[in-house]
Amino acid sequence: MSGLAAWLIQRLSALYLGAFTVYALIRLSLADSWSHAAWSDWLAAPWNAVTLWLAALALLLHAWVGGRDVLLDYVHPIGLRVVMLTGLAGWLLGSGIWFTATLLEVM
Amino acid sequence: MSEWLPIRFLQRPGPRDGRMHFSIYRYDPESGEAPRQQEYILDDLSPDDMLLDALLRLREVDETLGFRRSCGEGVCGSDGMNINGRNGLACITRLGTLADPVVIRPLPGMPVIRDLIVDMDNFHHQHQRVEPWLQPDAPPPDREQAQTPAERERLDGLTECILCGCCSAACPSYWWNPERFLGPAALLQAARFIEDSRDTATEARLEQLDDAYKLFRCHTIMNCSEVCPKGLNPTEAIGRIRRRMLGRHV
Ligand code: SF4
Ligand code: SF4
Ligand code: FES
Repeated sequence: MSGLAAWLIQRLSALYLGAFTVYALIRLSLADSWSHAAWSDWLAAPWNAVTLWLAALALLLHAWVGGRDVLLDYVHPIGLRVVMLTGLAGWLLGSGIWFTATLLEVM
Repeated sequence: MSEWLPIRFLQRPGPRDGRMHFSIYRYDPESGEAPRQQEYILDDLSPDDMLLDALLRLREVDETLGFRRSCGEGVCGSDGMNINGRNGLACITRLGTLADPVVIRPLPGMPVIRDLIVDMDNFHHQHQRVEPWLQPDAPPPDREQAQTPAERERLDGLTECILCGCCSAACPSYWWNPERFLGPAALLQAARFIEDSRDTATEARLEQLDDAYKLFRCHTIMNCSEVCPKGLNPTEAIGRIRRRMLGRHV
């Protein structure tokens, strides 16, 4: 993923995250309870779970392109860059797996 | 008079009673001495004099002062330099627009050969990499190959570049990755040939630019468009290339 593809992913994920944040804020301010039970109920609806999961995916992709851009701009020693890119990818991937697992558990 | 005092920005620009102070970057890599700013004073200046006129007068007094110039009227692109923190052409910069003292340095991010003369090899190499010539697949016609006015209009703002380097030398992305990021000047030239109705290598050109570095290190900081002494807009040209790339996929 480079060039135009990365650039597009950055824009599209930003759009989705923007829309999702607005939706989430409205939804939260309208909720009558923020209890665990209310959360579980909300997530039990597949539509909600999928929307949330997509938001997490968009966040991770956005962070990947952004973090990669910073490293390509500023970290020039090739070895260090590879280590940092791998670290970033590993961390984001791990977060994604952790989030998916947690989501499946509470659904 | 100090360069950093806020009062500098309140002051009326230009010469006062015909006098102006100049602080000019001096460096000769072969001398082994560190770079320094040298102070000069000139009298009998008018606000309508160009900075290049002042530099030429200074060189009469100090013939070791190194800078490039040729046309003296904003056409050849050889006297790009950093003037009071902003890249521009000395020959079309009026003294009346400049705060006193005028601090002059070489174009940032380019290796200094001597004083205000920088090594532009990398800049020109990046220009070459976009293959800045027409590539039609048909053999050239016997008569001129006319464009419609609309086709020609698409090249407005792209053909006027004089390759002075002011834009690329103001671009942080070019400073960080001068060998891999083509820089605004070269990308403006890429757009110039991508937009040309007579050029048939458009696909290959777009393909070539679609990697992480050549174009996509541009973060739309817009320093390039802000400084271009010819009033061109490389940021917009880069945006046009991006849109053409998108167009290929939809
Ligand atoms: S785009 Fe403007 S600033 Fe850049 S090289 Fe061309 S004329 Fe100079
Ligand atoms: S818009 Fe792009 S090319 Fe122009 S100064 Fe900014 S990063 Fe450089
Ligand atoms: S001397 Fe030719 S552009 Fe200034």
